[in-house]
This record gives sequence, C-alpha cells and structure tokens, in this order.
Amino acid sequence: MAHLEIKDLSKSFGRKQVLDGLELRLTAGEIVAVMGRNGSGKSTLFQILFGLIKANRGRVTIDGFPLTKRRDWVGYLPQYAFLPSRLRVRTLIQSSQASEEARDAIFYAPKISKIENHFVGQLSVGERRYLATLLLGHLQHPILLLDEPLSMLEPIQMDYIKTFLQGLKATKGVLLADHYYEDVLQTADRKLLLQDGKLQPVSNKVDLVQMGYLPKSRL
Amino acid sequence: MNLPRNKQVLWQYYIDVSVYNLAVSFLVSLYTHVIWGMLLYVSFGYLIALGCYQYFQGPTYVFYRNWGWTKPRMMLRLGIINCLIAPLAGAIYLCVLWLI
Repeated sequence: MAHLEIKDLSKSFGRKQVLDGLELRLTAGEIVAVMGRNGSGKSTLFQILFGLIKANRGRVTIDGFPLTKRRDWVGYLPQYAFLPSRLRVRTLIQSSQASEEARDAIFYAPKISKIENHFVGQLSVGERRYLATLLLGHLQHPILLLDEPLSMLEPIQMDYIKTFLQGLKATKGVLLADHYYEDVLQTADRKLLLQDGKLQPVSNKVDLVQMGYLPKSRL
Repeated sequence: MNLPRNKQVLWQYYIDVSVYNLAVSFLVSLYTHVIWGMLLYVSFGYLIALGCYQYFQGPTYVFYRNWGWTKPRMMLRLGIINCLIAPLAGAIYLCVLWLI
C-alpha cells in the first residue's frame, strides 16, 4: 500500500506565502479531502505533488522514496481542461486504457454512451471532468490527486463519481479538493482545511464555519 | 512497481506536433522551394511546432504526464522519430524527382 508523506512543505510566490510548513500523510485505502478558500494553495499543493512546480522547502516521499523517484505513482486531475480536444471520446478511451476491463468499465459508466462519438472539444465542462476522472481513476497510480472533480457535474454523474471514488480506495490513496463541501464531507475519510499555509483537521460544517471557510448562514 | 508507459497516446502527440510542423513547412515551401520546406521540417520546423503546441495545447502535457510521458521525454522521442523519418521522406522525394 503506497504511503505519501509531506513534511514541512513551503511555497511562496513573491511575498505571498501560500504553503507554510505543511504536513500531511496519505495512505492507499483512504480519501483525504483538502478544503479551503480560493487562493489558499490547494492547487499549488497538488501541482507540487505532481511535479509541475517546485516547493521552496520541504520533503515529500512515497514509501520512503523521494517524490522524484516516484513521479509515475501520482495521477493528477487539474482544474483546467487537459484532455486532447481533437480526439473522439471513444478513441480516447480505447487508446488511453491498457486493459479491456478498464475500457469496458468506462464505456458502461452512466452517460458515456451518449458522448462516446463526440470530440472531446465538443463536451461541456462537466462532461470533460467526468470523463477525465474516469480515465484517471482506471490508471494504475497508487496516489491520485483530484482538483475539483465534482465541479460542474450533473447530479447523476456526481453520485457515480462519489461511488467510484469509494471503489478506488481499495488500491489508491486519494487526495481530493473541492468546494462542494457537503459532498466532500460525505465522501472523504479525513477532512482538512487549508488555511494560512497549513492543514487543520475538520470534521463537519460547524468546524468549517468556526474556521471561517463557510458563512454562518450555511449552518 | 513500474507503471507502463502508454505508447499509443504518444502517437497522438506526434501527430499533433507534426501537423504544426507540416503547416509551417508547407507555407515556407509555397514561398521558396519545396526542398527548403523539407529542410525546415527536419530542423527548426520541429522547434517551431513545439512552440505552437505549447501555445495552443500546452495543458495537454498534463494528460501525457499522467500516462507516464514527461515533456522532455516526449520531445526527445519525437526528435528521434523525426530524424529517422525525415531522411526517408527526403530519399523518396529525390527518387520521385529522378524518375520524372
């Protein structure tokens, strides 16, 4: 079972300190949610873990090995559109999934049959995110970073993805960031709030209100 | 554990970059001579195409990275493929010229 460990991670952009001595442990078999306001550093954290940007300080290991030796172990769903837009959905599924089992699972997922002959570029934002999450989830990365996977999904897709994520826990550790806090609270095994560059444990809406992420009117 | 790199997705990258390369080389051929277009295709055209790809389709590097292909590794592979294909294409072109 893969084990990701982050120690004393710091990152600043100019004078703005985004991450400040952040600590986190993630083990395959759990879903850990990272919540936080826009600009709090969630995407920065994910990009560091995926190797797109470098931290100023800190140590990230997977099973005791430095992240640089385990880059292929981490899958990443970014916030932005990243699938090749000129491919048809069917072609993308067939060419990107090595196992027939994975291809079948994606083709039989809700709503995929309706879009399988469309070009990726023709899909709505929600459809793209749904497809991307399915594609990534069926790859073999032991650690999966999902930046707003529920964003813009229709309810049936959202429910399917939440169930799908629970299934992924058998082989992966999932780090999840999203603003759909009720779905996140329901899906994640551990919930953390990223605030002032550090992660604080939270367990429910009351905590999120007390820590200033949610307005009191949401209680 | 070694995760397998998916070679099929690399071909999509090659096609996308080559489309930019072909377009630039074709334009140069129109205004100069076809041989200059071919020379461009195997030299700076590749670099221009990489720049175009980065500009128009840069975010897809994350897609390839997820499938095990880092940007430098893909660029190197494509450079090697270009070096292998280009002399072959040049030889075919010269043969056609010689025949007609």
